[in-house]
Amino acid sequence: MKEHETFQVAFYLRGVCLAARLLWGCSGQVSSEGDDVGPAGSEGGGGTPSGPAPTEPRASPQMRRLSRHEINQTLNDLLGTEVGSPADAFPADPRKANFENNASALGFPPVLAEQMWSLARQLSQQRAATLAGCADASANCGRSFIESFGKRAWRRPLEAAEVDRLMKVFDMGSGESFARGIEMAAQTIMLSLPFIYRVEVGTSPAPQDPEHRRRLSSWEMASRLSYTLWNTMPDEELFEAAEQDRLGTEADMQAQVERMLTTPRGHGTISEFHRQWLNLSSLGAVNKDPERFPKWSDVIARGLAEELSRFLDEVAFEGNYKDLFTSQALHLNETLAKFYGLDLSLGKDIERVQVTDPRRAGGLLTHAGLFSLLSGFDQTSPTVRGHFVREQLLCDAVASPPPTVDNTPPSLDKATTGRARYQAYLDAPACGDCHRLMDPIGFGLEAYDASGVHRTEEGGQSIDDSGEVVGHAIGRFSGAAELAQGLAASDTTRACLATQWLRFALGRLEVEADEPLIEALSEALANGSGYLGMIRAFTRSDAFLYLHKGDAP
Amino acid sequence: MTDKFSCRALLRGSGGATIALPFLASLAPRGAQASQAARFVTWLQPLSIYYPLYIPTAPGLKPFNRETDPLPTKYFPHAELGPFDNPNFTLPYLLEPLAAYKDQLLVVEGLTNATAGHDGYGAGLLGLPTPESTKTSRYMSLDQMIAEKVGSATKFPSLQLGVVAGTPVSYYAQGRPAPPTSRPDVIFDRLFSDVRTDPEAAARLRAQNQSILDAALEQATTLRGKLGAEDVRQVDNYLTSVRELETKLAKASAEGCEKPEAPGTLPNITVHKHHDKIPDYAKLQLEMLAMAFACDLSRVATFQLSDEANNYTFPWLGVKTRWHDQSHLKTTPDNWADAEKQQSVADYLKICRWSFETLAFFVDRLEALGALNDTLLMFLTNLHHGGQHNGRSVPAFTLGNVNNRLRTGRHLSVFKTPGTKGQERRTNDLLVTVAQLFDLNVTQIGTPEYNQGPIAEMLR
Repeated sequence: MKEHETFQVAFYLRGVCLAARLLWGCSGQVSSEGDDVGPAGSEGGGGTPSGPAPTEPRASPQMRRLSRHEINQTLNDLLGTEVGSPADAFPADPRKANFENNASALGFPPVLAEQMWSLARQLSQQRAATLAGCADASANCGRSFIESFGKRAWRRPLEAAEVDRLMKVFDMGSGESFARGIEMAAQTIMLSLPFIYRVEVGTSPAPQDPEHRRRLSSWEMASRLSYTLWNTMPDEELFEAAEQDRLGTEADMQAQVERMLTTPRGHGTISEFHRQWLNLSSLGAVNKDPERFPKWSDVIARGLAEELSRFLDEVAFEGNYKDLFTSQALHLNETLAKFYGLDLSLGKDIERVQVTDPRRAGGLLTHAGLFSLLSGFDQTSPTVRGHFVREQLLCDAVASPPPTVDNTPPSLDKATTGRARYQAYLDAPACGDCHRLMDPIGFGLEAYDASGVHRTEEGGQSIDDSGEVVGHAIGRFSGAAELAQGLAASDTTRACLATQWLRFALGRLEVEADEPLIEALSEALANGSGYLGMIRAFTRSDAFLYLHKGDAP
Repeated sequence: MTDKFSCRALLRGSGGATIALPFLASLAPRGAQASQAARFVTWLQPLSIYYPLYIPTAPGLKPFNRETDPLPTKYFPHAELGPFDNPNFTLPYLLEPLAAYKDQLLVVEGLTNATAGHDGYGAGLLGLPTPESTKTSRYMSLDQMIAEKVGSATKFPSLQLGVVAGTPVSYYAQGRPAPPTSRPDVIFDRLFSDVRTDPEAAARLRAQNQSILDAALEQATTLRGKLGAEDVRQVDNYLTSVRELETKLAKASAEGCEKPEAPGTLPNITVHKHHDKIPDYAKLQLEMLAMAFACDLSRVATFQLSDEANNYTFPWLGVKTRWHDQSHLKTTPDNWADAEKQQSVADYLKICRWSFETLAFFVDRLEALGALNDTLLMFLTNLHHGGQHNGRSVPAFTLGNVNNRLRTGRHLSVFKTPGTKGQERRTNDLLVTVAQLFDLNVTQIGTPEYNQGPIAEMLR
């Protein structure tokens, strides 16, 4: 009896190198042109992608449901910071191509309707008294509350018919009490579609525009700015600019972008981008085998999270994107330095130190926060690390193992190294064809143990940290720092960063027509202005300034 | 047979106020629909079960002895025996917690799951290899098909609960996922808030809620006309969910039942140091689910102790590594020391046994609340062996006899489809069998070529 079904092992690597999107068989031969991204769904077949991925519908939704993160932030801005993070109790937003804000994946299942209902009810009840903000408990007072609260919650002025509709709700409640009327109106506003979704209807194209690009209203533009740069609703200044129609010129727009980029909210957005892109959600809560990693503790896990988040923030805001792979500025305190085995005299507070230590010369790749995350409980995983480099840093799409394959992690035999343990899998015919695209990358990172700390030997054998990025210009390398150098010099990596930003900022997968934009963002990165240059270029692009061309009205 | 009065009396013990709940239709005298099951719950078990101590011993074979028998690297101990049907089976170690319900069990051995591999975990009720297969499709999951049939009269046509679970296993039409909820306080709020004791206040609240919903629905409908095709799909998605909410809120009326005590705030169990609270979460969820069934707030549910991507550890069992790692049983590659393997099996067994004890707790609660009688429970996994990741002969059984339509109290082996040249039977056939017990006009579910038709051997 056959135990494993035969399956066709074919998977594709998606080069973001624009023109060169290739579909690879695991043998490494280019078999045909892949035209799109996203996991290949095989309808009722063997579950293994075996052909070009289906094409993403060109007209991605314009309307975007707020993610949980955006709902939290928006409610805090709308109602006051003590609201906290109530949307964290909602079902998790689905992750698609690394991001949790993909408009076509973010549905509105019934359970979310229920939870939005309860949340809106609870928040309105708590705040009815303070929300109204006028002295007399009259219908006029109710109307002015609806107009002002509605405008902030829906990020645009309400039409007369909309105010009337909400007044009916208010009237029904005020039969019981004025507060109940306010409460019900507020609950309705927060349950309504214009609160939960970013709705963009647009205005007609400028008559002189040969391309007929649909423009956004100033209110819609204010929301685009705030949700893109801040992941939340517009602040007073943006609302005022929208009111006075001061978002129409490039100068107006760039003034807002400059004002917004480097505020705490701007930093928060970049941090959210990193969390989603690099899949850092569990950072700070990683657990390690206490017998093998006695130095590991909750304090270390949290410290490494803080170190990495400071590092990423500095790279994004203060330099060249290449610092992601080359910076040797570390953010450490005494405890963390000791954990890394670095001889530095530091205090209790985390501070920035510049070091020249080959063990920490790979930027992101020599942060224990990352490599502890990309490891198992008790041993490293060259596969997981290699997969990270492919998917996150090179934007290659790596297929999941076929459903019937045995993917047991290798036994942790103390006498052998991680490389030896995984070599068995590379040698196995069913696994090796695909694993060779990932594991050899991970082999080159084996000098960092499962807690992310540098080591020179494992189980009495010295570490061989030669690795290879098969099928990529980086090719062979030795150790994390050398791989990082390769990534820093790679056009693929640069285009990949631009692509990841585009996915996050537009809430959709990239399509063919985005290639010039990805190229432009990539060029902005190459100019050395770091993330900020890329984001500025993005805010000047058609993708940001207009609705999709040719969309239905 | 219990009645409405005794249900109420039983619930009264739990403290809390009387709330307005719908008339307990399922507890009313039965009429025309007497042969159909009234409630359906799926227990989706992640990461398989230790098979040798889960599957009853086949007639004529020696029971598996974990002290003396070598660790099997692949199971299928019964595959070569041909089909059999054993009403005199002995409960193996892992099923012992269900001893009181042995005559209601129907252990079906030999079904291949279309979903083998972790990626397919969420597709168990779809009968598809992976949930992604639903993307462009017409598929919906079995529980939702049944919910359309028997659940629409209740406040919650279906419930999805998961202790530490993010993976949806339930799918509405067109493959729209119904994600599970985890926090007991949130579940309590969904199930038991929004109800009033005083009929006048209840009526007023209903009218007020209706005006809020009317305004929200009208707002979205008005907007719908201004948007492009892709956006209209999203608006429709919103409208569907808000209309379902409308139906739910309208049903919070009529007869009385009792509100269980609110669970209060519990620590976040996804954080490692709070893993010891996982059993509390599970029991609170199952208690509320049993109550929701007993009070006819809902008739269809899926429950997961976890999904397959979990980071569970088991401090209350003295097991410190993750569920997933234990499920691999260290059987491959073969260079593990025997002592390490034995330890791994011992740890995995503790986890499996706890799972069945928790399941038995739920069945006990249903029984105590008088709701077990017309409930069908289906236990399903997507892996035969946690280390092998193969879907051949996955653990699966049903509990409940559906008014004597199921041949319960037996161990059935159906490795090959009768009348074929040894064609494998799939879990798809089990899904179809269950669908037909709910009088659904369904002859295949999921991938067409995985369907051989209902499993006649299960039926009277």
